[in-house]
Amino acid sequence: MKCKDFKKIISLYLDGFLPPAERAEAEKHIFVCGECKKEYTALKNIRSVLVGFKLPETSKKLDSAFTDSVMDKIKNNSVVVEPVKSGKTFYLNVIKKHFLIAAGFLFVISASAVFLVKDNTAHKEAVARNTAIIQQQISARKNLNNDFIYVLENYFNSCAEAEDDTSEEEYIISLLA
Amino acid sequence: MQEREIIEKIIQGESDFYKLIIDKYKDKVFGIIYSFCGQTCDCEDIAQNVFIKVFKALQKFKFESEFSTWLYRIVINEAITVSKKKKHTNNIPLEINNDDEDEDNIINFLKSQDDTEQQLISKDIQATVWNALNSLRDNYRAVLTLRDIENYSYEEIANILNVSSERVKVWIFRARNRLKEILLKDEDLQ
Repeated sequence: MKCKDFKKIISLYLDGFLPPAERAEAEKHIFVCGECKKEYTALKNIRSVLVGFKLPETSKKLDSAFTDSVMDKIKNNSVVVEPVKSGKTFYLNVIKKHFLIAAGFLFVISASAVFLVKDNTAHKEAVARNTAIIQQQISARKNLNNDFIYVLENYFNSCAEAEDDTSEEEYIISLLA
Repeated sequence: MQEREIIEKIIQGESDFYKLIIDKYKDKVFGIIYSFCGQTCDCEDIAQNVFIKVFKALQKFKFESEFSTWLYRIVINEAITVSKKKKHTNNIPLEINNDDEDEDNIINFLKSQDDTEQQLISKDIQATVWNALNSLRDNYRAVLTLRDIENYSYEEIANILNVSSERVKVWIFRARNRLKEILLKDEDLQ
């Protein structure tokens, strides 16, 4: 197993979800590779802190006073199961709501148009540059495993919505390198 | 009585049956909220609000998934909303002094290969990791909380968050790497 292959499965290895053969390969790899062992150790140590945030089973029990309190609030405040909205009023409300949202968007877009044009150009250039590098590197490789292909597909599909597109691309490039 | 029958009775107006639902899920709901919000939030209050919201919204539950899945989705949304409000009021759950010594502590801790040391994780390290976890995007934070703190499987997390298991796998992978990057900053372990 190479370092880049280990990095792809490190999270599954940490969770103990690797099939036995792959697990044995991973164990063999961290035995001989100091860098990957360091990376695995760091992730394992972070996980051990997160596990400690769990509320201890012993202090997790809420008594019947909790249930009574919720039921009292429901009864005293006349809380009812709300019907699913339907009919004219519902559609009028939806139209009204959509109109307000559209008006709000129009205002925000027109107010910030100048800044958006500038930022978009820089962002598009960065995406185009990184995408070309990624595609070039993929075409140079034949045996990418399915998980990694999924990461890439997911990236390309969610390119527009990701908050940190360029850093995701740089991350993928680092995995391919 | 089956859970479906209980829910149908509540929807039809027999609200007393809701007690059975609360009793069944209250500890789990409380645990998830605690995992998201920590010690300084009033988790019991939040749990009460969640159960009231769920009661009001019961009509929207169409029995297309497990009731627990639907319930936990509401719990997580509420927990994220509450913890965001907490962040806005600068009420960080655990205090930490950001000096060089603390940075050294976390770096040494992350490099440590001694399992016995794991049993004595200092409050500063917990605080640093907690703050880093809270700085992640909501979806990353949700998957790490559900996987590492609450010990849900990838499949269960996928159902709760209403995404595919493959997506959960990718989010967990990215969330862990992002958390490591935040904690190690410029260190050579990145």
